[in-house]
Amino acid sequence: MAEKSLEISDEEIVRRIRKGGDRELYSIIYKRYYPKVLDKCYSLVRSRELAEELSTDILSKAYEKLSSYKGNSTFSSWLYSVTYNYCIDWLREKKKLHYPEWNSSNELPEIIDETYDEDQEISYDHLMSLLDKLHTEEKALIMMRYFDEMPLNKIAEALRVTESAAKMRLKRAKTRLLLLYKEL
Amino acid sequence: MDLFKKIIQVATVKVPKAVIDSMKQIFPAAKNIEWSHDRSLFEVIFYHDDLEKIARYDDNGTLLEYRVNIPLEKIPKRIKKKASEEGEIMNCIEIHSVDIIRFEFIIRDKDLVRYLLLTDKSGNKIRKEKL
Repeated sequence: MAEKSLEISDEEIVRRIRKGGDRELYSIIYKRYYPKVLDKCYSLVRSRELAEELSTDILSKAYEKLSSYKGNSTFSSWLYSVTYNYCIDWLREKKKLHYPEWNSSNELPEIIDETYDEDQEISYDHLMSLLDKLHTEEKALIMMRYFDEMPLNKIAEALRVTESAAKMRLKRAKTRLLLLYKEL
Repeated sequence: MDLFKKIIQVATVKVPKAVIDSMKQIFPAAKNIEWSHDRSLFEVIFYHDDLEKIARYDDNGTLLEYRVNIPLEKIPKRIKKKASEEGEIMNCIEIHSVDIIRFEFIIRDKDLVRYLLLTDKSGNKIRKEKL
């Protein structure tokens, strides 16, 4: 299996499973992606135990939904989209995550100075600490767009919002991130 | 380039003068402007009159459509009432295309299932679909 796992692409594995063949091949996908899915879940839910639970659920759900993977994007993009969707839905339901309420009580100033010291390097950890101060939906938007380079229509789908709403929220998230950076 | 810069940096898009002039004329006090170019159209996202807006132009500077994010507390009462009959309003965007005004809502039902609700300018339902 180890030798096999190095050779076969994700898309080929999915193709073979969908053809009704070797279901055990999914264990390769599982091993390949569990750490990445776990990282994304942890970034959003901030609990290692819960992130592990959600990652297991997501990879099982992805297996059940393999037929909906159309091959228009890489398998990893599709899986990450399922991951964000699952985590945000979970947070909306269990943690009563309510973006409109949060947004109206965290208004942005009317005039925003978009300049900043471009020579200043910002570490990954510093960036993550700034992102943690955003609403989880705004953080997810930035991660999807700039970490995973997902197109806006796929981001909108994953968050169950319209594309226009996704664009506006992303701009808002970027503005808030800049303001947070400047506050420090 | 570090990730922060990648996020914050505004993309450089070469926008024709006719498009910029048209935008300045219609939205003179626009702030925090960000242009993009897609499928031969120029799209701009910005703040204007304290509201978030997205406008689309062709390369001659003709405004094809613009969208305004309406804060939930500013939705006209009559329209809000009608949309609320379909579920809890999570987002509202007013769409102006040519001389037609419509509203695009995101609503959710009691089971937190989210829908796109498109209405006419009076709040009458045109389309509702699951997101």
